[in-house]
Amino acid sequence: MNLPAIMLVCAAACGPFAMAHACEGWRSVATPSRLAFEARYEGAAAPGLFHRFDVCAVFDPRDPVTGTLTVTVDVTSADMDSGDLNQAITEPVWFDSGTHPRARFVSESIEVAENGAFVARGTLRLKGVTRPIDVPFSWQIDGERARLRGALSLQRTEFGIGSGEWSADGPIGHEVNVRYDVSLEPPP
Amino acid sequence: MTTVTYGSCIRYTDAMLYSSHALRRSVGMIRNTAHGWGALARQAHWLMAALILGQVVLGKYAEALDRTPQKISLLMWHKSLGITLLLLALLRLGWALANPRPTLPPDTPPWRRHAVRLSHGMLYGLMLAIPISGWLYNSARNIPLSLFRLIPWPPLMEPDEALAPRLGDWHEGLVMALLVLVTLHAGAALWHHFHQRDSVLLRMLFDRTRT
Repeated sequence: MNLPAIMLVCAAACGPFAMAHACEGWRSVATPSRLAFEARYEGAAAPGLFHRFDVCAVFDPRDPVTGTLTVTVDVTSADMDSGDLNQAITEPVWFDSGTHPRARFVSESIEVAENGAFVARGTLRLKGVTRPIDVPFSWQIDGERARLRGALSLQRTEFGIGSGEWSADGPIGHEVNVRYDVSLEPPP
Repeated sequence: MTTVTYGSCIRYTDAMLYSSHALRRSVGMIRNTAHGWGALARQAHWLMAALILGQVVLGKYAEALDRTPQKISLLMWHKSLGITLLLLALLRLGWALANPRPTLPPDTPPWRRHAVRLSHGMLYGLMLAIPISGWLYNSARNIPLSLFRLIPWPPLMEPDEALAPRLGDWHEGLVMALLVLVTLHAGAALWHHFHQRDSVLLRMLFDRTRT
């Protein structure tokens, strides 16, 4: 096996978790971490969640500005608890998760926000489009683990999600709310 | 002071009486009698007939579309109208139970009286079962629903991928049964009008509550 073949196999097999192993900071644990989103479907709330994602936080709340936050999301794990919707969202006009199976947020800076919360400013690469976003979060120590929580709102069309005839702010709304409640284990 | 109040009370009652007479003259009796259908039953009958036929066309048309924003919108209207029809059917059933039914022509043989009771019962049953099956179908598929984009509407059951296609078949099958019954129903009305030359069709169109 030559090197490119090995890399290809690794990329396919290790998937989003390749990053997790390289994490030098706090690392998310699958349970009970949650990354949920909510779109609007003809005026109705259309909730979903990503089953697989990794958060790596090199973070000390006493010195937040030196921290970094990295989030990798397996877009193929999106689940709206509906066979119809789950099939639809993988299509090229939506997530196109066959071509873009991973989304990634990388912080450039972390700042202190109000009420003891923080905001990570950085870029989100989603469906091949990189855009600056702010990720607000609170940080709590809960026994051995840390708990990172927050919510933000995205405009799906900025990432080309729902292209062509779906790009209007019509039956499927432009705004998508994202909520995260992540449990992290301490740095190794 | 007392006199003024008394006087205004009289005038108020006169006005009420007058408006109730005027209303009665313009729309006829609200309630059914043994002779004919009241205004509410007649209007509900034709309104629901029109909405149900529109609803069948809308559902069939939207179902056949590719997945487009238009399809999603049309299906939202179909579902909203369907729940509206379910609520209307319940109100109408309540009104039907609280009112006398106009009698059939006296020469109607018993078997036809049974057939009338059975087919009308089935029409009411289908007016309830069709929207409920559609609601179940939508719930099993777990498609978010907000009636007329305004009223968040709850699912009737847990998502069930395996059952969903069968509920869809049921929804369509019940509509087919309704179309057959409606055809028989309309055919019977026309038969009464043109063959029997009685007032069975006319009394659903006009006020015959007093004759």
